[in-house]
Amino acid sequence: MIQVNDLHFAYGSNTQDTLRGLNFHINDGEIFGFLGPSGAGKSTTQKILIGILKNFRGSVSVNGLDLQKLNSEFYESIGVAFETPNLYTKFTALENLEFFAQFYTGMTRNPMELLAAVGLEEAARTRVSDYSKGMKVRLNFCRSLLNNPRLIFLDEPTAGLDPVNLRKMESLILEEKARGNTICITTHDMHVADTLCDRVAFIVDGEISLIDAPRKLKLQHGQRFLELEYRDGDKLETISIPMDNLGSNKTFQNILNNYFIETIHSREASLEDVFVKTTGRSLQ
Amino acid sequence: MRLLAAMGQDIRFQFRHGFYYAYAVLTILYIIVLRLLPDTMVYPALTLILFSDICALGFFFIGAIVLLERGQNLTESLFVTPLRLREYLLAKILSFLFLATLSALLIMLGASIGGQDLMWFVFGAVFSALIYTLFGLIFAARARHVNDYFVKSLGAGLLISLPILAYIRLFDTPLFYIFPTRATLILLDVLGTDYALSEKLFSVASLLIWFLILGSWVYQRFNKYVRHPA
Repeated sequence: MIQVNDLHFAYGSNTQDTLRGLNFHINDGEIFGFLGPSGAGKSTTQKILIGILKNFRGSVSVNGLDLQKLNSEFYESIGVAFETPNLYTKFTALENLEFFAQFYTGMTRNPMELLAAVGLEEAARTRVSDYSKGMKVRLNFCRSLLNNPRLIFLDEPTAGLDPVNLRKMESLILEEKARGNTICITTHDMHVADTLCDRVAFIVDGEISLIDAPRKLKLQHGQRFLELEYRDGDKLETISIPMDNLGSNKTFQNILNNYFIETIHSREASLEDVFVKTTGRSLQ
Repeated sequence: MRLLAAMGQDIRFQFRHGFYYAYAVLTILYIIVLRLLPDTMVYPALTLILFSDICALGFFFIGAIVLLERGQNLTESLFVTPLRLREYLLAKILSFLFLATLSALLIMLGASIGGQDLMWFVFGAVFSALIYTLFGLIFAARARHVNDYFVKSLGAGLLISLPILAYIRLFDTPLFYIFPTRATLILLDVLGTDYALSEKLFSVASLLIWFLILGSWVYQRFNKYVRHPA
């Protein structure tokens, strides 16, 4: 779906490139994440992919179409939710969606159904200026889906959401994937990348250091040990046991049979551990 | 369809941000002033009032509209839809033209003003509103906020208004014929003053040329600084 080769980009008269030779591809129907700290180049990459930033070097094609030659038809089939909600604040949520829907020639989704999906049906006729940050993020997401896009770009889609709406948003994104749509997410939220993305690209200082599936990365960089916490009388004991030949491990069998186990965890790495290990940077 | 949708939204946007109320108050004030003036002063006053109403106000208000839009980060979201830049700009210009022309017509009707040269006058009013809207857009393309816009555009606004000095007979030079303001002042003044046909034709040509130059300049600036900022 998206193929990027040797992508370089510099802002204005900057002599230093913000993006320094990115190479990646995004497959049809996958959720691809750009993970990196603020200023890493995630949003810049996304702005190039959606045709806002021109004058890049290298090649970028979307569905075989060279991005340097795109026209406004391109926007019939993509949906974009920017990190900063950009909505008409003196208009209601419904008015905002109805207005943007008029720009598309194809069938658009029912604005009320979209608002209901993100829990905003009761606030549909409230002006956006009276919305909280989280409500604006959800409305922004609705707008990105108006035109039934096959390719969806979401910049920090969960920023400012409470835990309930965070989960709702995650399931809606997964629903879009289930419809066969391709989704490109930029985030600095490890949980979002881990839960949603089929593959993630670690991006720092305009360079991609690694691209792979979160699960594979966590296993690759983890240790094959089980971590157990169990009660020995009043004492809480902790022990690490190798996962290889676990069934015949006598210590493990002994604890299972004779002690009260409180927790068991495998010791795969967290995505954050992998990020820090491979990039030498934290995500904050 | 996209153009109509964008234009309708722009009119509603201007309405909800109070631009129609501001114009309504000014229009009523202008009508009262014109009705109170002695007959001999009505036409010169009308010319200056319309110049300030459709040119100077338009110049500043269009900047304010674009910057209010930018303050809500709306341009980004508009340009990831199939809306084309020329449609976006046309919607802005036509919606504002509608407001300025409506105000000018109401002033004329309210003050019971008319005359033989009405066609010249209407052309002058419409194209002047267009040109000063385009002037405003040139500055709005790069301004970051409303204050920034006013500071940057004030000097240019005063500069292009210099031919007013000739109109009020303080100072004149043939160089003023280069300014679109000269043409504007002639065409807005045709109802009360006799101008030679050549002067009226020159004014129409001048406004058309300015319109073409500024239109393409606005397109380029918006393409560079708003549609594809980098």
